[in-house]
Amino acid sequence: MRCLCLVPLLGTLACGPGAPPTSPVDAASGVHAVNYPLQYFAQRIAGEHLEVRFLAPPDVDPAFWSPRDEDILALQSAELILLNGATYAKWIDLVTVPLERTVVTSAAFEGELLELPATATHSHGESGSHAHVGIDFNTWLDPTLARQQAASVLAALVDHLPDHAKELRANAAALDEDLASLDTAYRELSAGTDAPLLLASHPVYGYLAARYGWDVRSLLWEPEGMPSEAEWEAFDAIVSQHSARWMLYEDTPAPEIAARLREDFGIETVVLRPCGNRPAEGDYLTEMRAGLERLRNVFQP
Amino acid sequence: MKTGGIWYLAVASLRRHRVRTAILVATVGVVAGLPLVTDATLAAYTSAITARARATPILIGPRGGETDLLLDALYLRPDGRSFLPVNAVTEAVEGVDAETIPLHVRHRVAGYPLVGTDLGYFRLRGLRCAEGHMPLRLGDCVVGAEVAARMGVGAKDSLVSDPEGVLDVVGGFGTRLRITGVLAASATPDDQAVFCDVKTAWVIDGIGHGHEDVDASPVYGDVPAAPVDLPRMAGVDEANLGRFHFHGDPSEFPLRAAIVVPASASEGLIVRGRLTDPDSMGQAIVPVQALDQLLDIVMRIQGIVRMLTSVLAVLTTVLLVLIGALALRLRRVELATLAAIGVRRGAILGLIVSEWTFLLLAGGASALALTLASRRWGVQLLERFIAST
Amino acid sequence: MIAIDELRFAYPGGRFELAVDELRVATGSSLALCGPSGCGKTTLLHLVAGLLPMQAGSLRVGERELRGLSEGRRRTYRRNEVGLVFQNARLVDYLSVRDNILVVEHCAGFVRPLAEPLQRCVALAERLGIDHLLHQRSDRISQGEAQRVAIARALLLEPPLLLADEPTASLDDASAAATIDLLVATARDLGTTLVVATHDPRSRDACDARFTLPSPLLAPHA
Repeated sequence: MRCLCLVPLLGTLACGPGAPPTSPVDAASGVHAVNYPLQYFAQRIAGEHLEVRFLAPPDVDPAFWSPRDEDILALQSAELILLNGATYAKWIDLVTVPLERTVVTSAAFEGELLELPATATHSHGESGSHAHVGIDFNTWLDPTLARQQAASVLAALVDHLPDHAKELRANAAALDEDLASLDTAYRELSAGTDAPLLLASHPVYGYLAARYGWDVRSLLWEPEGMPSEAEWEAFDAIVSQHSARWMLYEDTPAPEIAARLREDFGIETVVLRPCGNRPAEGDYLTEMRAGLERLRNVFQP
Repeated sequence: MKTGGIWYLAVASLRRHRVRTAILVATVGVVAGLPLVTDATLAAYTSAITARARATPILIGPRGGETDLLLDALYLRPDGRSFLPVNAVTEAVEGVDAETIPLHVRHRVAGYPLVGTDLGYFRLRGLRCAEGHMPLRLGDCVVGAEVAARMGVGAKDSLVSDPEGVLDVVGGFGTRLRITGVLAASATPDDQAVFCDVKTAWVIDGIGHGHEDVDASPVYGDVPAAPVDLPRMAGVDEANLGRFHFHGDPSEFPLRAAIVVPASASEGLIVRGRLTDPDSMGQAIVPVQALDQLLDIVMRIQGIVRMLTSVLAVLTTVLLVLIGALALRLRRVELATLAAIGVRRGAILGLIVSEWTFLLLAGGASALALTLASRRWGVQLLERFIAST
Repeated sequence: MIAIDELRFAYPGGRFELAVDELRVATGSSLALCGPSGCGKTTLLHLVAGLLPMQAGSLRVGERELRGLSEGRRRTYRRNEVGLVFQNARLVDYLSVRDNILVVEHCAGFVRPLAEPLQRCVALAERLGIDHLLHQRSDRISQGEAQRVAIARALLLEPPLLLADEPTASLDDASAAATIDLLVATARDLGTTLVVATHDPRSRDACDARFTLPSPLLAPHA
């Protein structure tokens, strides 16, 4: 059974490259992004010329969020909708939005997208069950891909605000520099060791691992919920083959989980937030940098 | 009554013989009105379809009858049985600076065409919601002004798509559609249609649904191949929206046509050039050009009507003269009496002439009324007639 | 009022000839024109009314000599000076009683002010006892009533001369008597000279004078 995303296809149906310039109505509103990293990139590039919005509420992972009617209405009047692509925001296939105003920011590296390792459906509590199958959408964690996505955002915004192209390009150059510096930092970090063994609570670090040559085994563990004994047994089996000393967590795990990992398996936890939604403090860049700092312990020779 | 006179007498005579008067007025009205009505209607129709055709730079559709494609896509006739896959369109417009609007014209709702398209269509046709808003998600629709008025439905009501007929393998279920808005009247076929997202139309095709395991092949061609066990009546709502998905390769999903609005004439030429290859699945037509055929038919209708009405006019004139002569004979005693009591010959003549003048004026007025009425409804009726042929 | 001398009249191609050597009718008097059927009563009446052109002799009404008057002038004369009542009322069927009485006024122009003629019409209707019928359809009243409407119509313009051609012939006895009495009385009251062609004895008796035409004389050649 093939279940494909319709948007890239219908997007081309709706417009060719260099699509009809969006009408110059109130350019100060109506640019939407489907996740926080894209909102951050777009806001930094646009500067004060417009406000980039992001509809998912703060306590929800936008990857598993669906828009309400009023959100779709807002999107219908959007001047620009920045999509992540890579199967992120699947709801876009199920709603009616102006496809000619959508930009799939990962289109440039469509061929490099990674398949997720086969896993099962599981529950995330309130947000209901969902499955981690198909394409890994956490593209923005890899600074190199993030740079390409930012470039795509820049192109879209220059189309949208042609009068401010120069300024937008300058802002984008600064952002690109920041992202490049993250890349440099990751490279330096990974240079000391070869293919470190890592565990991950969720399969979200695929692009980082691929980029920097990490060997990551992903689980489906929640930071806050104590895994069942069966899961611990399965974990034991995995660790016996994959003797990692560090486990990446999307958020600070419950102390009892961290304690059991440390005491029973000698595994330390390190938090590397994927940052799909706005962090409690700081921004995408500070969060990525903080994550890098925490990773320094992992990669100490 | 403080005034009278010959006109008063003429009117009294006409009023007393009101059935005869009505018949004569109607006869004159119809005979004089027919050419006016047809001319006005055909002129309005011609300019309406020309306007619609002009606003539709290029149509891409499956190979086959140009006129059918034109009528199906411009006049939203869901009867066509030939479709083309999405990729036939995407390949034709790839790399071209053009807006492409999909048209899935296949299903009906309460007999009205259900058009699957995207928001670009509403923008292209200048359609806005008089009530509510455009479709938001799968299963949503907006209804044309006339559909809303005739069915007495509005935003927040729901409609069920018509089952496809006796051969419907789904077993006679329709898909429930949530009405999110009512379009403002546009005096075009859009008033008599229901619109949804093209993806919703594919759901009704049976390509997309909320069921997990059924494998359905995409459909374009003759037979709708939809899974038989789908509880399709359930429609799409916020609760099951997340479980919906599409089967098969979206590039193979069927469209009746696509409207292409190229950024420039040369971009349009590229699109048309790509589809001149006889091996390509699609053809591109320029509606304004393809319209010539249709207008030819219109002109022929006009010619026939003109000929018939001139014959009719001659016959009617003869008939009226005959009726006039008979009426005069019937009134011989009355007129002789008037002459005998001293009424001038001119006054008697004036009485007869006044009566006929009023008759002809009333006939002319009804012809005019017919013409005005035809301005209001003629094009719609004609469109319905053409759509039904 | 009427002076006829040596009057001769024949229809073209007909065998009948009307001959009246002398007839005088005084102003305001009434005359019964008698004689058997076909003796020329109606023809004489029509000559006096100016409906037929004079051929020979003299016919004066008041100071006017009718012989030699064109048809148009005879029409004007008829409208202004003669009231006519026919054997059948000959009302205009699509008009109300009132509009029948007023029909000559109606026919005087395309749009006519009718306030003043209407007063005369109502007065006449009252006098003739038909004022309750004014708004009736004229084809829904009795023949006696219709004949009274015809008299009102004839008298509307207050003509000095009223000519009635067998006005009671199509009425039943009762209404024939009433009608002729009303006709004679009204003419007398208005000072109108009245000539009634009749073979009804009651009509003869009601009038001041009588003139009997001889049996038809047939001309020697057809």
